[in-house]
Amino acid sequence: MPPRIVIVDDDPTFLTTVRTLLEADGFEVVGEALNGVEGVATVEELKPDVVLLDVNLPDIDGFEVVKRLTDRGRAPPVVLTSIRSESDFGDLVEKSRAYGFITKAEINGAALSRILDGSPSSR
Amino acid sequence: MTPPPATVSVPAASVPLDGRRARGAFVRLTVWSLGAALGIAAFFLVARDGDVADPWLTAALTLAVGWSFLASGLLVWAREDENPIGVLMAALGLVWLAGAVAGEVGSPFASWLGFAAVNGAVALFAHVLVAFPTGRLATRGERVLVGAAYADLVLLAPLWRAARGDAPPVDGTAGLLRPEHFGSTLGGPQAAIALLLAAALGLLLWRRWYWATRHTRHTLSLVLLTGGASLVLMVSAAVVEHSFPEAGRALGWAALAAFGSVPLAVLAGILRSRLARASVAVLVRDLATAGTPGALRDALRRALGDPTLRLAYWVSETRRFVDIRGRPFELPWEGSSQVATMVDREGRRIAAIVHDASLRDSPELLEAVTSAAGLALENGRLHAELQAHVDDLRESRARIVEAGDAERRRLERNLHDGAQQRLVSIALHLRLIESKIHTDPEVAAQYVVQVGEELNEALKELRELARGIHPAILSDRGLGPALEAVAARSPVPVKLSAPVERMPAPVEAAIYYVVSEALANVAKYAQASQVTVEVARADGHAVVAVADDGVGGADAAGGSGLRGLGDRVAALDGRLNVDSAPLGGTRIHAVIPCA
Repeated sequence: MPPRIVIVDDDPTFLTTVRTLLEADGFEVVGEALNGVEGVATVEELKPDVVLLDVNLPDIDGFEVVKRLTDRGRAPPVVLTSIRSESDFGDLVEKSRAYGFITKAEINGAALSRILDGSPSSR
Repeated sequence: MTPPPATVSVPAASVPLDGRRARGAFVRLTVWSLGAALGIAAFFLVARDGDVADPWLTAALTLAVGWSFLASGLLVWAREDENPIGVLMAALGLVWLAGAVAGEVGSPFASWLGFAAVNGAVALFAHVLVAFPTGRLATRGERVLVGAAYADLVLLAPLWRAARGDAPPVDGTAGLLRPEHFGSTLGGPQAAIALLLAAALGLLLWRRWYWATRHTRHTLSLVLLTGGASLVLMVSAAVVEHSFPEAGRALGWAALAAFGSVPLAVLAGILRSRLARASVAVLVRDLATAGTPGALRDALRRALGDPTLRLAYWVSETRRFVDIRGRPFELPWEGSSQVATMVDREGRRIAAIVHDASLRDSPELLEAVTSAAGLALENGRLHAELQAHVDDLRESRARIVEAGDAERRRLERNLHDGAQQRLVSIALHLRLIESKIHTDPEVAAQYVVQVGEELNEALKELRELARGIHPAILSDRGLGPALEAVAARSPVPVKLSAPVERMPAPVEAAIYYVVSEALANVAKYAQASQVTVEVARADGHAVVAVADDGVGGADAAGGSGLRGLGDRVAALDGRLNVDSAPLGGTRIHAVIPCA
């Protein structure tokens, strides 16, 4: 069974590209959201296996989305993503309860699977 | 009471003339001799008058009043050449004694003369009270009051008495000379006028005291107290005399005693303001050690006896006053309790001394103090001007740093939202191409086209960004071609004239940004149909003018763009002016030193 994924990003073009890419790599994209609040609702409704979450969102940022998801009990693993690199956010990524981080240019099915197969601290 | 003007100017110093002084001394000696002789004559004539109840006491009081006015008047006259109050008091003393003598001579004509003279002395007394301490009648009301007093007492009173057939006794009981005859001038319309005038005088003096500042009150108090007391006592004596002759007589003597003490109070007041003037010497000493602007202000406060005194310095460049720390300063409004005395040196404005309005009563003191402090004020002005410059520099430096930070934030944002976004998209599409190239070559080919377009967009955005950081054409080919490129991008038609020769890079960059920002503003706000850009070199300066025919109303201080340009130009010791009346178009004019 292919892993079910929800993608949260405010750029529709990016969403389309990533959906095409991940579907080609064997993921099933079950939902998309354009902002943080919508993202929390979509994830709670669809209960996917993994969430790909942009850090920079127009309403609440990705860190806040992770916090809200994990505060409400069992949440799927969340992988944060950004045009910027992880080090640009200091220790925010590490302190968050996100499963991992991937820069946008490196997104593909294999890379995502490697993060999900590793321990929570592996990036 | 009309509000005083907010500013007074210090009159030029008058040069004392030795000849005038010597003549004044001779006149005073003559007056003194005459007064001494009249006094002795009056004393013995009154003392030997059998009709007087207490001849010796009356004679002594008559003499004391006369000599008191005469001596005090002559002293003030000698010390305060320009203050007429000394002459007025000396004249009062003479007229008083002459009146006393005339009243005792024993002829009807002399008696009339004596009556008029003593009344004249009373009118002179009113004059002295109103004119104190400057010796001048400042308002029309004051002049009318004093004029009416002379007319009523010197002309109307004798006429009224003559009309009633009530001639003054030939054997010497003239006018107000003796306490028991205060009442003889009362009765009839002339007396009513006298009472009215006394009331008006009392009101005037009370008002003056009430509105006076602390400084002036000190000077006024003693004179108004003794003067007011003698007025009240004279009137009471006259009123009481008919029914209670004994009490009237006592009140009359008290009135005379109070009357005689007035000149001493005047003398004390004048000496007090002379003491204030001595403080100029202390000021000069203080100035030598006044190292800080605050110390100069404090020295002036001591010298002028005004703890509320403030200093404002004139900055000619910005045409405004600043305080001793270089901050903007507003002069007091008309009608406030403070006024500003302007201090000029060699035809140039230096400073304003803002002080208590009452100090205008001592123009000589103000003038002495301002001349003594002139050099120190000039130094203080330079200090304040420098401080104002330092403040301006500090502010513009902060703004330049802030503008630099804002520019960096803008660049990061542009890179993030623009080229980086494109490159991410390209990376993801390359990955897609990789996965599709064997299984679905047609789709892969579409992605290749898309990647090519994305790359072109990314390059275009990077070019614009690079031009925003620094226009390569400016450093490579100079201002003329760079400005032509800016003009070509402007949506409003530009008429451009720029020199061909190169200028130092910072100057070229400043001009480039002035023109770019100005043209961007024209496009955004001006609704103009045409804009003229002129760059020229003249007298070691680069001159830039950008003028449009749009709606105007631009604000150099308000917009951060124009303000940033002003800072950039100022950093090269240049000046930027924005002339933008509503509906009159906008004209931006910059001058930058450029050897």
